[in-house]
Amino acid sequence: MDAREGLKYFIYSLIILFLQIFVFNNIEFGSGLFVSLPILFILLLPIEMSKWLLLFLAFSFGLTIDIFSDTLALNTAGLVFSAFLRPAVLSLLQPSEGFEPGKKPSVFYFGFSKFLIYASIHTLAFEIVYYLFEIFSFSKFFIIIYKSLIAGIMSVITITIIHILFLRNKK
Amino acid sequence: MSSFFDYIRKRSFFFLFLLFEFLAFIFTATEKRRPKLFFINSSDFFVSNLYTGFYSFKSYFSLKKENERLVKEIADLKNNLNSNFSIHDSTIIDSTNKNYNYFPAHVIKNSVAFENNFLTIDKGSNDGVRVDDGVICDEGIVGVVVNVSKNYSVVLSALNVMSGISAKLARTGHWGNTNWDGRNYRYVTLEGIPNHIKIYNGDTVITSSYSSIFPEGIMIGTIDTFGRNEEDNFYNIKLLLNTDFKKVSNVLVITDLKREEQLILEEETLKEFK
Repeated sequence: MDAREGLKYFIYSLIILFLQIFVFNNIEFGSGLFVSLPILFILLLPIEMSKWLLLFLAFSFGLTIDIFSDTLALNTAGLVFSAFLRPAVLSLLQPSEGFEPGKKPSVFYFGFSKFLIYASIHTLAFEIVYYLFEIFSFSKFFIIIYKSLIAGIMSVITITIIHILFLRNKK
Repeated sequence: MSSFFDYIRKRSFFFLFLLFEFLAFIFTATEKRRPKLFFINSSDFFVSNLYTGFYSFKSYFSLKKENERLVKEIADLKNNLNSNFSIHDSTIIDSTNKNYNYFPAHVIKNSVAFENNFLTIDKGSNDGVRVDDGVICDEGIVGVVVNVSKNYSVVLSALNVMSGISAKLARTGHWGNTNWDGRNYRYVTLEGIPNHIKIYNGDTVITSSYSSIFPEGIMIGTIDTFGRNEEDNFYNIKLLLNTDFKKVSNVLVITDLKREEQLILEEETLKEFK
């Protein structure tokens, strides 16, 4: 990844940060359910990025989001977990001849249904860890699952829309 | 031993993941217990300034100046209220003998969505806010200050599973504690009201005089539903909060000017009887 590429991802992360803290943290549907955009950042990173860097980026980006939205370290925990899963998810989704080098995950490269699966797995993993850390007990298992599912579905829809808007802008 | 290190090296990605999750866990756990431990949060200078800017943009829609003027007036009136002075004599008004000091503040950040909700207000130690000061709004209680920086303070909302406020029934005077279960932001539970007394739906619940945080008689809410608990002889009461936490914006911070005196006296007494 060269410097220009890095700068582009830095700007992505800033946009996601601002959208999350000033728009989506203020839109609440149901009680305590929010759209979580930060996961989009993990989704967009290049396919062949080293998993170490991925984990580190997830940790630091999650911590930044948490500081600004006063959510303890919930986003950090969720992002680290989904970054940990990403290599496995990608190898699950890759075509038989492997991914083309230099390509980035996107709706257009993956195709809509494949991208939806890709986004859904990561978002669900994120939301489950998020609410597990927030509620802090296994005895409220069904509340955790219920909250993760609803917030997850809303997040996947929003993430897909914003991702498509991002790509439009770039062209 | 070397095979052990081989194992660690092979699994080092997994262990880094565990380390990060463990760190997140530590932040979350310590923060839940005592919010001031975390190295940075929204009472921090940079983050707060950002939110202040956002707030001033938002308040354009809610006639900021008019509200400010009104809240200041309320603060002045409360400061001069007769019940705020210890000596109840119309001929002596000694402004040094006040029990409580009220001053206005703005909420610049608020949440009702989590199990642990906090508010950030735009007054800090420079304005005289101290930890354990009470915060109210015109509708009723809001919370307790838990963390103070120079220009900002973080308030533990009444909508926090760790929050407990000493309350009493206005009609009978029996006292108990309010708790929040983390679900609906309109309701809290009231515990500790013995079930031999008669209570009715709609009874008013106010703050008791037993805490050194709130003055007596601040509105908390009204009884929505209640049930008898056969196991422990106390009612299960569901309170409808009078404060609508989703629109709290102008608040009053209450400083108990005689709290130190009271606490020192109580501590000394405890020591003597040990």
